[in-house]
Amino acid sequence: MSDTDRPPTAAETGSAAPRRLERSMGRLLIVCIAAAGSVIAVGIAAVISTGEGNSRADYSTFTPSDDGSRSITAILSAAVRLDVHALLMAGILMVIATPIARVLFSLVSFARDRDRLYTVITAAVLAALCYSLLLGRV
Amino acid sequence: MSITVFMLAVLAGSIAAGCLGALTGLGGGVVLIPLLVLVFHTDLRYAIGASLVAVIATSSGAAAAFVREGFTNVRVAMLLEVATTAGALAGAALAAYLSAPVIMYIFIGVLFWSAFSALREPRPLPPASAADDLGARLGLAGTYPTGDGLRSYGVRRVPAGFAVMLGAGILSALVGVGSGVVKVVAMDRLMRLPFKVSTTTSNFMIGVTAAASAGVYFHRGQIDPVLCGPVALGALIGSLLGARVLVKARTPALRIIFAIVVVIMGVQLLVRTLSGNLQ
Repeated sequence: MSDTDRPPTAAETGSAAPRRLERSMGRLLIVCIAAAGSVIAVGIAAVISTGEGNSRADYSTFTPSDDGSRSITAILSAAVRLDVHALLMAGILMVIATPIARVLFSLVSFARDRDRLYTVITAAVLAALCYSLLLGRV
Repeated sequence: MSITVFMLAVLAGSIAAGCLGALTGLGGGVVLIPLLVLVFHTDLRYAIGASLVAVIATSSGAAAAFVREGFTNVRVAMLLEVATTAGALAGAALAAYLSAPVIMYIFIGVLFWSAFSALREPRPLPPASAADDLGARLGLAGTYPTGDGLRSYGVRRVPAGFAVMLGAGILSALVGVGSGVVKVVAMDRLMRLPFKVSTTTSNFMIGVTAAASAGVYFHRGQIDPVLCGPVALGALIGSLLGARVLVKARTPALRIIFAIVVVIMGVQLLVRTLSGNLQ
């Protein structure tokens, strides 16, 4: 995209650009949560219909699963193969990713508006979120 | 309880918790965690992981409904999210060193505080008409729609608000709630944002804060798919119902019911923790 056909900045249009930003952000949120909700609904239906639904639910003691079920790439590839637990987990990860998508979206908008201070601030928030989800060691 | 019954019951409970949370503006976590621990006999660590997922779902669901109305101040949200995400990472780190009863006592404190603030009808302070020096330099002023056109507002006392937000982030990660009560203190009382702006901006930020600690808990194995799936779906449905359909039902009676429910659950959790029977 050349410099002349970029969208007008907030300074040029008064409040019009921020309002457009908010509207696209709202749409982004709706798409994200609708997709996540659908994947989870399918996952719940799958667990119930596969016979696992008849076994006993017991969450009274914390027994963390092995590391494989906590790797994002392993979960996503198993979800594609329609592993029901991985499908549910993929939907949950989509829920967790929704705020991250929003921050990424804001980063692009601030950068596009040449707002250096808020581009840096938003990049810092995004870095913290990515660190948490991808590495998760604190 | 079979997994089928468990999932459907958790789904129903999460819809109710998400709905009640959206209606009272205090988030679903304060209802969901006691529900999971007391009714579904869930270990506190699983309950906190599930609650964080519910907090994110509720925030995204309600934010999708609010953001298009032009109330959310994205700059204020981003600036304060630096504090809340840093606090959330610190809180998640701290949680690894605290025993379950200690975390439970902190959570019970949050419960009673939530009940107290639900009973005290929020009396909005007049919004700051002019920003102070730092608020102006950070470009935080904004406008929001009212009955007669856009009204502008300034933002004050940014460092104090930032410090309180750091605490809100720590608390959110430690006990798995949105800390909406703390965020409103920072934005309403200290920074003097207009009530509607602070409510929607706070709700928006809650999801980002919870996502920061949810990642850590995911890697610790505290996010279980069979538990969190119905919780996330229920919270989404509940928040959409609460934000869109039932918004007119936000009555004083509902706040009193919420406070009573929360106090009863708090006392039960206290008794159980004191007797050493914490699941």
